[in-house]
Amino acid sequence: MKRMLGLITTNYNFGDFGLLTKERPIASIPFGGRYRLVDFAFSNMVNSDMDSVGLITPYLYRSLLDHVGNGKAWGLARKNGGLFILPGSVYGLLNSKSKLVLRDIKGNSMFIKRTKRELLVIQSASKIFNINYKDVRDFHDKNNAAITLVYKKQENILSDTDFNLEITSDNRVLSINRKENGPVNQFMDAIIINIDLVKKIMEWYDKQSYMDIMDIISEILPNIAVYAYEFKDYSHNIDNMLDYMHASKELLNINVFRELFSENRPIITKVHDAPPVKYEKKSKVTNTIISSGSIIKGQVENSIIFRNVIIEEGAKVSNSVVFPGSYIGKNAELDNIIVEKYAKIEDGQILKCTNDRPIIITREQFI
Amino acid sequence: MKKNIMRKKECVAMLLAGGQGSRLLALTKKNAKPAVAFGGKYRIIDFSLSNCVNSSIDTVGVLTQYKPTKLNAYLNNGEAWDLDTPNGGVHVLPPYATESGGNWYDGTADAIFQNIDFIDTYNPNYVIILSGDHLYKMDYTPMLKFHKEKNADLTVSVMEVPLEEAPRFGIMSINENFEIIKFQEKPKKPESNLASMGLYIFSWSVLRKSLIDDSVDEKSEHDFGKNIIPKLLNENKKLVAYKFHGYWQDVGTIQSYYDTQMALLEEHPVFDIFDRNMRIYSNANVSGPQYIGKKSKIEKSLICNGCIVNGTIKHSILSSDVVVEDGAIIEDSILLPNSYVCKKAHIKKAIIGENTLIKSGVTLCKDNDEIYLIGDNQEVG
Repeated sequence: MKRMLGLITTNYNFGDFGLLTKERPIASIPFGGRYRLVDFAFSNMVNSDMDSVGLITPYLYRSLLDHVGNGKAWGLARKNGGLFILPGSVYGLLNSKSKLVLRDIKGNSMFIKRTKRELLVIQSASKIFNINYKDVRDFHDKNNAAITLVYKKQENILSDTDFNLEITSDNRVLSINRKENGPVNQFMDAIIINIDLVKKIMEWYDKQSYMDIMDIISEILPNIAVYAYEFKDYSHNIDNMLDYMHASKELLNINVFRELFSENRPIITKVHDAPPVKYEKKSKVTNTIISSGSIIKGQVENSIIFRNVIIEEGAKVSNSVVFPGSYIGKNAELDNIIVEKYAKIEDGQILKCTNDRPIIITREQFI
Repeated sequence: MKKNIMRKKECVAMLLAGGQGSRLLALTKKNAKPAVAFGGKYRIIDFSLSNCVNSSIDTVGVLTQYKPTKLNAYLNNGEAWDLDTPNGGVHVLPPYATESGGNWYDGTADAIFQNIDFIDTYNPNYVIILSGDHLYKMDYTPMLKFHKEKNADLTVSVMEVPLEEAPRFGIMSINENFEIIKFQEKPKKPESNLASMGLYIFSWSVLRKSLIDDSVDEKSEHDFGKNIIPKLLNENKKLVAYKFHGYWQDVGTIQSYYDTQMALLEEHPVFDIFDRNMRIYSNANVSGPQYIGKKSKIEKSLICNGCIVNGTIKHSILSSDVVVEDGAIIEDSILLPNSYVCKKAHIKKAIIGENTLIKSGVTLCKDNDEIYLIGDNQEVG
């Protein structure tokens, strides 16, 4: 009998992503040449043998549901279990930094009440990492925990939305706080919680369902067994545009690439079935990730190129991220640019951005 | 009247995928020809299956016999070609046992004969017979329309070939109404330059009767080209030829398998895998994007998802999940899925099989212009 039930939370929208989140939620931002951010959560869950996963939807869910479909890519189109689309509530508070409020679980309480599983595994879509939840579950069992929070040791706080966990030597969580600097035990937005406890929390906090799950866990901390599991592999925050660009460039490190896209626990995404990448006679490509269906006639370095991109002769693309279906004209030059889906860069256009923060070129923009 | 459990289909496709493909040598040692990798991310059967889907034919029987494990796994439930439909879809049809024993498929016609019951469940008006080893893009709809307009019993798809090549093919002579008046199998002195593509549309009632007659003919080799077509011609059935004008290549020999793939590397290839109008579907794996390292040099090549490249790739095809380490040079070659080339190896005009490892410093290159062929699951060096 499977014991873990997955829950992916995507109903939040904060952090400065500029035009990247104009028409899509954070969870469906394209990443790494052929993925969307939500793929990491889905893959972690199904690679840990979960076959029943709920997805709490955000406000702008079109592109997310288009990507996820019926969950077929992850083997979640099933008679028994599979993918559950759980409508998220509409927030009034735009500047809330919460990634999961109780209301979003309560509003879909049937998902929790009807399951025979014992453990709920929760993950957000704004951190990329490849984890085996079976290890976390074993740790949870060994400690007889009611809640296990996954954390990673970091030299410094990475984001003002991150939680720091104060823990004892035997991995008990003492407090959850927002530390402003120094070394932290960064909470990975990943939780294993006993389903019985989730049901109780829904009763206890019936009138305070606007509360963040982390605030609730903070409150009940003294009375229940909350443990912290240390995750030691590669991870990266995607909380704003700078994070996004930084994480994209780190992928060009082959060790990071291999660790994140592990052979044993592959990151799975919707299959699009495009032809192989075609490199023409004058192509010159180094230190780059490219996805199928693209045709490269020009130069590319230190970049991420998604599916079905055409880079014409004489074009030069450096330090950039080019989304699916876009076109880079002859002799165009791009440096530190994000090219949105189906955007067209005219022949001879030169776009260079010297800031850390890249410029985003969208389909509607005429340059 | 008895009620049929499946809804009637106008046209059912039967895809012959059971041949050994011995002319592909090491590539078909453990693998049926239709399941041999082609053009990086495809397998040979993808082209015929995609043609079916692009022609709105949603019921395909795939006749398998020779080493079918990989082919069966690849076809799965037909989902990759959108052929996992509730009524119809892909049906894998291996030989089976009956109360009077069982038989292997003995010839192309026998393979269809043994599956008459399968075809009957769909009660089709027409049956289209396809080979699993040809590279072409074709919408079968105009051919079916032609078959109906001509009120034909059999329509054979033909293409014009140079007269000097005609002796390699089955050659049709036709009159001004496209009616076939003579059929010569591999003639020394061809009377026409219209070659059969091994692609037939039959009216099912005619084919059904002909297959039953043929099955009891002890002299018959149970072959469409050698037996069924000549017999129908003798019986004065209406046989017409449908002229196909596009690109069509047999990929059944090592030379043609190599040449047709190298042709994909042209800047404007005749057979365009990038054309979205006649898409080629395949059962893609879950590999990540390809990683092109700092030391790589790539030109005139096709490279698939999951590849990690740090060497020099010139005029070559790298299928899914191939690794080329730094200092290695690949020229004019085809590397099949999951092959691995270690540092400083040099490969020229070669076909490297699936899961094959080429160790450091190895040179694979023939002095003459021959193709260097290494089969699946080998270690070299």
